[in-house]
Parts: sequence; C-alpha cells; structure tokens
Amino acid sequence: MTRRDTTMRQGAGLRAGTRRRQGTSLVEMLFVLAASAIVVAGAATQLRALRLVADEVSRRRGAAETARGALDHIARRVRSATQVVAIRGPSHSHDGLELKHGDGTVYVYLKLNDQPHLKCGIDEATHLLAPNSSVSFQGYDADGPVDDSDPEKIRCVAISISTHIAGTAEAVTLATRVCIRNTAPKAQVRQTLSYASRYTETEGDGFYYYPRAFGEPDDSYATPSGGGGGSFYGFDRGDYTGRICLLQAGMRVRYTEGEMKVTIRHDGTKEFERVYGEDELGAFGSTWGWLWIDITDTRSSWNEGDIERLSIEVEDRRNLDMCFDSFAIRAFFDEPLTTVFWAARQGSGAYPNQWVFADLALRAPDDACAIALAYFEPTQSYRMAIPERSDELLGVQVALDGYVDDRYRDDRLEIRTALPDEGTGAGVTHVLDKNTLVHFKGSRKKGTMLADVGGDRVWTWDSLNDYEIRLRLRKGRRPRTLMADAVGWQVYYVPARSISLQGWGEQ
Amino acid sequence: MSDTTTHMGAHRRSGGSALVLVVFLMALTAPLVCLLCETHAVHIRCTHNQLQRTTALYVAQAGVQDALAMLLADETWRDGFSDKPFPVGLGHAYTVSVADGEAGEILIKSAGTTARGYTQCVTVTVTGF
Repeated sequence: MTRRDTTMRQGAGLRAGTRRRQGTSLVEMLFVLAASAIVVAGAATQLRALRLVADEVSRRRGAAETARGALDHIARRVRSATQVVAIRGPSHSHDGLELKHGDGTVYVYLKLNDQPHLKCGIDEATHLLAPNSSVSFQGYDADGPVDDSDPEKIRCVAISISTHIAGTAEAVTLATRVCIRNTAPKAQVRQTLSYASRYTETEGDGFYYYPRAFGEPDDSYATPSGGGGGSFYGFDRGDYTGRICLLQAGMRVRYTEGEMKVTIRHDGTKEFERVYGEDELGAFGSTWGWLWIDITDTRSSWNEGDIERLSIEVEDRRNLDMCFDSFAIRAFFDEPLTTVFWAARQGSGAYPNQWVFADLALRAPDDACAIALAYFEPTQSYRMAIPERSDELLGVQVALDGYVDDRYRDDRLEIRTALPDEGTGAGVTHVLDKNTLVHFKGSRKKGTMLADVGGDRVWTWDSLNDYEIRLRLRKGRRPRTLMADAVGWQVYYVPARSISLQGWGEQ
Repeated sequence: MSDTTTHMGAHRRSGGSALVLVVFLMALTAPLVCLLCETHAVHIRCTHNQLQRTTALYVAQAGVQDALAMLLADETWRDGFSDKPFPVGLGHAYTVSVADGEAGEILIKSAGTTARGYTQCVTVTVTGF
C-alpha cells in the first residue's frame, strides 16, 4: 500500500466521518423513532382509555338528561292533577299512571313491557316521552303506600325513571316524589309567578341598567332613557299545567312623572296596548308598588305554555321619570274567589249627594231603589265598611245592581273612584254607555253593571274603605232615570289560607 | 494526534444528538398529552358530579314533598324526617326539618344525600296552613 493510497483512504474516512458528524446515522434514527413510538403509544393508550371513559360519561349524561326531562314533565302534571285515575306498579304487565285535571283532561303515561320507550298523551299514550326508559310509580297517602287498586286515595306519587345508557347494560335512575296539591283545602288557588330574565331594546337607547329589572324584586332598578323603550321577556312557565283562569302582567315601579306606553305581546303579536299617565301612576309615588295588568280576555284561552311566549314592552311616551324593579307574569290556574261588598254609607266631602232616596241603595239588593234623575239630580257617592282582611287583593270593580227607565235611550253612567276630600273631577272616569245600559232597560233584577277600576291605583283593603264610589248619570237627548238597588265593590282575591310555596332555594 | 482527539469528541457529541432529540420531542409532547388527559379527567369528574348533584336534588325535593304531604294531613306536624331512604334500595336518603317562621310561615329544609355521599339542600317557605 503506497503512502498515497493510505492518504486517500484516510481522506475518504475523514470525509465519511465528517458526514456522520454533521447528520444522524440509521441506528440513531431508528433509536429516535423507537423512543418516539414508545412515548406516542403510551400517550395514545392513556388518551384512548380516557376517551372511552369520557364517551361513556357523556352517554350517561345524555341518559340523565332524558330521565330528568321526563321526570320534570310528569312531576308538573302530578302537581296540577285533581285525582289519580289509575296507577300500575311493577307487578303488572306494564307501568303507567293516569291523572285527571280540573278541566277534565286525563293525562296518560305508559311503559309497555314489550317496548323500550316511555310514552305519554291525553286519554291515550301516543307520544314518545323518553326513549329507552323504564318507569315505576307508587302512590302514597298520609299513612304510607296505597294499593294500586285504590288510586282515589293517593295524595302523593313517587316516580322513578331509569334511562338505559347506550351501548351498556347500565341505566341512570332518577326518582322523586310529588304531592297532588289540589288535594289541599278547598280554598286553594293554584298560581305561578315568574320574572323576566331577558331584554331587548325596542326604542331609542332602550333602558339604562336593564339587568337590574331581571328576577325577583330587590329594589335595584332600571330606567328608560329619554324616549327609549325596551321589551322584557324570558318568563318561566312554572309548576302547573292546564287552562289559565286569570293572567296578569305586572311591573314593580316607582313613579315621578310622565307617560309610558305598555305593550304586551304573545310570540310578537300585540295583545294589549295602553298609555299610562299621571292619573293611573300617580298613586305609586316614591314607594315601590306593583302595577298589574289583566290580560286574560285578550285571547280566547291561555295555558301554561303561553307564559314563556309573553313579553312586556315599556316605552317612554312623554318625559317619563320612573323606576322599574321587576317585570312579572302571574297566572292563576283556579278561579280567584270573588265577593261584593255593598255600600254601608253615603259619601261625604266635595262630591254632592243628590239621588232621590239615596239610602235605599245601601246594603245588598233588596228591590228598594235609589233614583238618579239624569236631567235634575245626577250625582251620588257611596262608601263601604269592610272589616280588616289579610287575603291578597287581585282585582276591583264597581258594581251597581239596578236598571234604567224602559224608555231609556242614550244616557251615560260615569263612574269615578276618589277620596272624599278630592274635587269633583278627581280620578279616572269610567263610562257605561248606551250599548251597556240598554241591556238593563225595563224592570228590576236585570243584573249588575260592572266597571273595572282595578287599574286606577294600587288597591288595598284599607283603600276600599277610604275611597268612595262616585256616580253621575250624564243626560242624553232624552234624559231618563236610573234605579240603583245596591252599589259596592266587587273584588277578586286569593284567600290568605291558600297554600303556596313562597320561596324555593337550592344549594 | 490533536486532530484525532477532536474527531473523536465530535463523534461523541453526534452520538448524543438522538437523546437530545428524544428529550426535545418528549418535552414538546408531554405538556400536550398532560393537558389532554387533564381536560378529559376534569370533564369526567364534572359530569359525574353533575349527575350525583342532580340525583341528590331530586331526593331533596322528594323530602320537601313528603313533608308537604304530612303538613296537609296534620298542620301541627313538625317532626321532620331523619335519613329516610328514597327510593328504597338505591342507598339515597333525605333529612327534613320543619320549623315555624314569621307571620304563619312554615320553613321546610330538606337535604338529599346520594349513596356516594353527595348532598343537595332545598329550602322552602310555605304559607297558608
């Protein structure tokens, strides 16, 4: 081997060594790949295991949501029921529950053993309520479990729903117990009260601090901007189901001055619109009070599902200076109680008492009438003497039991409510025009004329004694007479002994 | 001789580059893997807790309803319940206390506890008795 060859090999070796130093060898590459593969395989295994657990947990959560939805649905129906018609336990070929509501509707829940789903419906279980679920019902009275053959004794129903988790043999089970509240004392009036939770600007700059008007009253308030308006909605349907007998939209307010327009919509359709000014809002002043608006008659019927679709829109119409603490919808699923308090004495003070034999219109109807002469002595006021009560007052109407001359044509009866020391023009004027009075033409026992004065102010039992009813027969083209057998307040109220859940907190 | 030493040193350094690369890759991927694992674990724990809390809430509500039923039958009833199983066989139970509040109100406090020890409380104020 020559020196030149050696030098050449060394040179080649040196060059080859230089290349290895500059990169990585195949062995090193394999080592890196092997190490990476081990790391990735370990991580992937761990992640896959976690993923499988997470998938199962998600399926479990889905099953729980299904069970919860069905449980809430049945619980609401049970609360509103008047009677359990039928109940079947696990020993039978199928599990089911039949509930009768006050309006006669029978709701059916059924799980046939040869079908994997829980179904529901009216009179017949036709709709799917919870897929892959089983259910069991057990009735109770005050002494304990009730035999399935005596459903009429049931006062409480224990409901257990198991929804199967897809891909496994396991199931999620939720259970609760619900009282049939309609088995409470006869005077119970089922009602729900829900507060606005959402807001949309409708005019100008809308409301300042609008979130403060969300939820229950807390004395923190929102105010409309100058010329602005907003819509409050997001009401909850509550516990009860069925036909609503009385539906009210309300707002808790303080008032200084100005006019506001209130619009109540159902799914965007205008159901009610009215402008309120000093006359209606003046009573609120600097203390918080509820302004309730009766919207029952704006539609032919209401049920619990309609509550969620309602919105209360308020707009500043003229220099409105007003604070809004809460917006609410109140629904009564039973008729509130009603009674009439007939006048106990004539009014006194600024308003003249002019009817002939005015004393005969005091007390309950007795066929002895006071006489109002449209062309000569048209005005008269009456006051009541109502004992102290703790019932909740819902609505107030002026009631006049009487009739008009059989030759009546077009006189009008004006009705106001005012304090005795207020002037003759005080208060909101309610008019019973000829279209109303013509139905009372002729003779006795024609019925009771009614004027809704509930929106005039915030009524309390005390104020029904403080205020007087002012009546004025405005003469038409051929003035006639009006006979008044009795005059008074017709009130709607919820008895204080009505059982209601005032607060519900979860921790 | 000096050249040879230098070459050997360079060779040793090139041999360690694989380890450096592996460590680098692990350092890069480990936090990601840990993050993924932690996310999954938190998700699982949350879902599990939510399910247990929901179960406990319904058990607590059952306690309130049971108390209401007792009050409707006897408005002077104030005994409450202590660890009453509901539903029987699943290991859940509710404890209910009933007390008089202001102005004729009745306060019902119900604590529902699941078999795994999760607890939810429901407090209800009732009027009208």
